[in-house]
Amino acid sequence: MEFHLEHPLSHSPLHNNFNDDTDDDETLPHSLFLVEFQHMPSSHYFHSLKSSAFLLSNRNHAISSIIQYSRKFDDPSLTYLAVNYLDRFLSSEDMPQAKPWILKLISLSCVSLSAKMRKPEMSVSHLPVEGEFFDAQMIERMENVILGALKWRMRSVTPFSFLAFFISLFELKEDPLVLKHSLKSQAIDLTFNLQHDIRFLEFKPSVIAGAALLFASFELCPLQFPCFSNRIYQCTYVNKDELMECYKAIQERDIVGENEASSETAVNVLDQQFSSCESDKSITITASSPKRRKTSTRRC
Amino acid sequence: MEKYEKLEKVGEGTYGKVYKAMEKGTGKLVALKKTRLEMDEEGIPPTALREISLLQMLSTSIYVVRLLCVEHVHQPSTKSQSTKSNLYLVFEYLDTDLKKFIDSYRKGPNPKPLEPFLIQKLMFQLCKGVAHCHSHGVLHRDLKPQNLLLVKDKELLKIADLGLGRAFTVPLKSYTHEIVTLWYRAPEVLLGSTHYSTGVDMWSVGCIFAEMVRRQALFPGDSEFQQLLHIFRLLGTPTEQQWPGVSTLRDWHVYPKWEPQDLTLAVPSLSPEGVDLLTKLLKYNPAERISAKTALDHPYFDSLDKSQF
Repeated sequence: MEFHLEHPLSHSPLHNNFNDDTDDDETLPHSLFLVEFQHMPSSHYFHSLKSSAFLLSNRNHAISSIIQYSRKFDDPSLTYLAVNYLDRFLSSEDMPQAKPWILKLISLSCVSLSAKMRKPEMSVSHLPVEGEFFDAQMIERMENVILGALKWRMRSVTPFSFLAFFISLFELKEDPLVLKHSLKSQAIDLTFNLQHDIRFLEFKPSVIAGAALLFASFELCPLQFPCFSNRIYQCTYVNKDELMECYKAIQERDIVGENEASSETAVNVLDQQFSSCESDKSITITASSPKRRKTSTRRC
Repeated sequence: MEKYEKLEKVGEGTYGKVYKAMEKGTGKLVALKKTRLEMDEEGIPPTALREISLLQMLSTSIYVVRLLCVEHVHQPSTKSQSTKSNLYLVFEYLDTDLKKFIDSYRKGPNPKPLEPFLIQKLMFQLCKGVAHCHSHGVLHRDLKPQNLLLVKDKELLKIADLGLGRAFTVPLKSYTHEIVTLWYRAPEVLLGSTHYSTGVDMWSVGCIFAEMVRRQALFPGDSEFQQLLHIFRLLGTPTEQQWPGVSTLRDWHVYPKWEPQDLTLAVPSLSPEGVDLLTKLLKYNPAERISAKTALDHPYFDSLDKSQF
């Protein structure tokens, strides 16, 4: 069974047979709230990226490589998972002088691991990597190093894991299904986009999920926003201040995106990098403001 | 693996040897479970990756034995040969298991039954742990007293040997040719059903429950056929009425028609609520068997102070 970002734990097709577990979405996250910090890069990582242009450019290069290598899978969740592994790995290692080919090997191995979680029937062994040749043994060795650094916690707890839970807290009057669906799909799009922006590395996955949903609700149903935010704030596991801070960061990012004044934010630097090495139309994340960027598929 | 000093072999898990070991730096005791992985040229197999990472997350429950870390030791062999590699799963070490614990009440210098409140407490934790696994879509498939580890002084029970069912197919014999016990195996598995579900674990829970009360196994069969006969003699030969579809299962044969016995006779010291729970755990039709989550609310546990869990 494939690994799903929204359900990091469920694993077997038998799951559908559990007729007495219909309230899974409400019960499952409690354990996820307790372990989510194990699936985040360290705060040290966030601070060094902020202060070192060199490290930041390493990360941006590695993310571009991941996007490039994972393109043939056509699966945004796979790419997301690989970038999650990358951040957690880079955060656990001290490598100020990583050579470009090592970064490429790390990126490729993150894609390989993520593919094994998501699409076990497909393999990365024949992926062309421009300018470099990595044989199976090198990838395998790097996979092992990454597995060790990540302590085999490959079922990453991400913001996606919390969306259903937060949405279940909302009381919706009209068209609840349609609205829930739109809220979720907007929050999903937003979460995909936030991953590359280092400002969001410091927030817990649940905080990003809550803030992304609030942001989506402000756009879709502003009248219900106060009620939604109360609901989320009342949740025992959520720190109100962190959530506010994250929400503000999303707002700021949105404004910057709309003005398109600053092209020097991390996101845009990254975009330019893609445009220089991508000619493929299948990834349309080059132009326009970050807010309007959509990845090709919405599933996760 | 230099970090650990192997002290003694403590058992044969279904999937490999288990050692008691000491972490050299800290002196902490751990259980090392050695598992052989067949590597192909693609590195670590996806099934192993997904199941170990699942185990990693499931072991956050206090009723599941904690996986501390994973050590992957591999020797790359000559080209074009598959690499043999060993995976060591490093678990917390617990002093004893339920089998040894029950034995100590049966064989020790002072044989006596397990106190009813202790059985109740252990059963509750067992159901908690199984409910945790099932709610995450994981079947154990090999629940037995040897796989239930105990912290004796705290009377804490933890499920072990879990979750590797798919990466490492359940063998009939473990690779050291020790025969895998059939005593806790559900009738649908014995009859060759391939579409089994959470009911297989609940059957095992029932057998373990009875064993704690009796201090000996409820159905001690030594072959699959004998195992079925043990079950049928006590519970009666299942009928189509009781269990629709039973006679179409792959390994169904015509069996002598036994009448069901009074279950109380097999567990004379168990309270009526306990017998009722046991009856619901040992339902023939897997769809009618009580789930772990429902079992937690069964009247048998009413007298238990649940706030301690």
